[in-house]
Amino acid sequence: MDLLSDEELIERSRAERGSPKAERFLNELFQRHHAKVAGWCLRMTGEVNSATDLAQEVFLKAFQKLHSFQGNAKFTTWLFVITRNHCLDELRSKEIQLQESSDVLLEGIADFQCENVSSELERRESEKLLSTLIREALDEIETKVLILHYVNELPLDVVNRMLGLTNRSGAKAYIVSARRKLKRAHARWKARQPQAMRGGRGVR
Amino acid sequence: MSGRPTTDRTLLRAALARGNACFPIERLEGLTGSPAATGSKLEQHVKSCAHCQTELELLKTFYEGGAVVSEDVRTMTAALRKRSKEIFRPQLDHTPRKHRWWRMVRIPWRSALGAAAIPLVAAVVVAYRQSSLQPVLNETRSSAREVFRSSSFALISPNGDVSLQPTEIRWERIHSATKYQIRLSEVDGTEVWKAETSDDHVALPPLVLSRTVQAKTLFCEVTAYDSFGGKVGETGSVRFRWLPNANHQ
Repeated sequence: MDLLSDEELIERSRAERGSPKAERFLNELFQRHHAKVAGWCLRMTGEVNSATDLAQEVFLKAFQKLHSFQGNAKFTTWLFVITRNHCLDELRSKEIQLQESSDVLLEGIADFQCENVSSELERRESEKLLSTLIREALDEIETKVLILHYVNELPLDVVNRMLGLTNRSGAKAYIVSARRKLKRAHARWKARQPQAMRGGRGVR
Repeated sequence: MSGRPTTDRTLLRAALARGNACFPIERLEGLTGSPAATGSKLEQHVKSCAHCQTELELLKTFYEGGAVVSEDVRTMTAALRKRSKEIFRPQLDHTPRKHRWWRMVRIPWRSALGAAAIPLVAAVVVAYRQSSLQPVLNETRSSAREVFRSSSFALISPNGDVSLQPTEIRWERIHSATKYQIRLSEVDGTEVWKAETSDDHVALPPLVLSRTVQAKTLFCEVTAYDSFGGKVGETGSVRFRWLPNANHQ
């Protein structure tokens, strides 16, 4: 059984569906990935007991959804998507609030109280500008921290564990530093712009 | 000013979110192992896209999770191996599709036997009542009840995810029951606590309270017995979990 790939194990379990053999194939398949899922869940919760429960739920979900595995990706990638989504759902269901900052992040980049088409266009321009500033001003780790926290909505302690951050303030320090760098980069960008264009962008 | 942090969050999220040119995860997996052909569209995009780089890093972290295993993860995998039956059990309960044809053959036979038994039982009862001038003894009726009345009843609390630490177990009272047996177990079936009472609730002792920690899933089962010791009902295994930090909100 060790020689069979994950995908072959799934094939065999489907062929033997309903028999004890199928269970053995699936047991082998899941056991191969216990450590991966367990490690991920531990990063999410930071505590062994709750992470074990979470990992068990992941495998239960994977087991229930296995019929939808089409082989378009490796089984490991498929399981990763299930694991990540389930863990994020779990975090959201517990209503873990992202730590809001009272700091005005990007003073003057845009006014987001959009009420008409022109401000919607301004918003898109601002997003584009911010993407450029992020690319130019931030280092790799700062960008990753921002993506995990703001896009994936991971709490800061989870970001710390996910990226293995060991500095004293962890992800929070990177966010503070990223904000500072973005403000400075924006000020430099503003200084480079002709007066008329600055006004046109709706920068306040 | 109060709306600014949300505004900033929205702005950052939009600027860092997945773009139209980004690749799906099943394409990114091509970069987890051996390096992709240099200059491929995928590689070029990932080099310049922070979003795809982060996705790829998360995927790699997951892939590599099995390679470096900490002591905590070892403990967890051991627990998962023990719990594997919990994962398969719900499916196995309704899997024997192979035998469906056999069931279809058997069910009419059972029905036929049942139908044939009715007049036979009726004839025996009539013959018995006619042959006896004495009233029917209650004892024989009650023993019949203990065989046929075993049914399910509801476990009221705790049930599912609960926000407060459970301090007692409560269930529906059954009229014919004189004793209830309560069993608390962990997800792998290990018994945590067992008790008996004649009431419709029982308080959890301090030792058990110390084991019902936050986020831990436990199962509770109550079985009802009548005065003859016959089982008259059961709740089945009911899952509950005390949600983390719920008490502190």
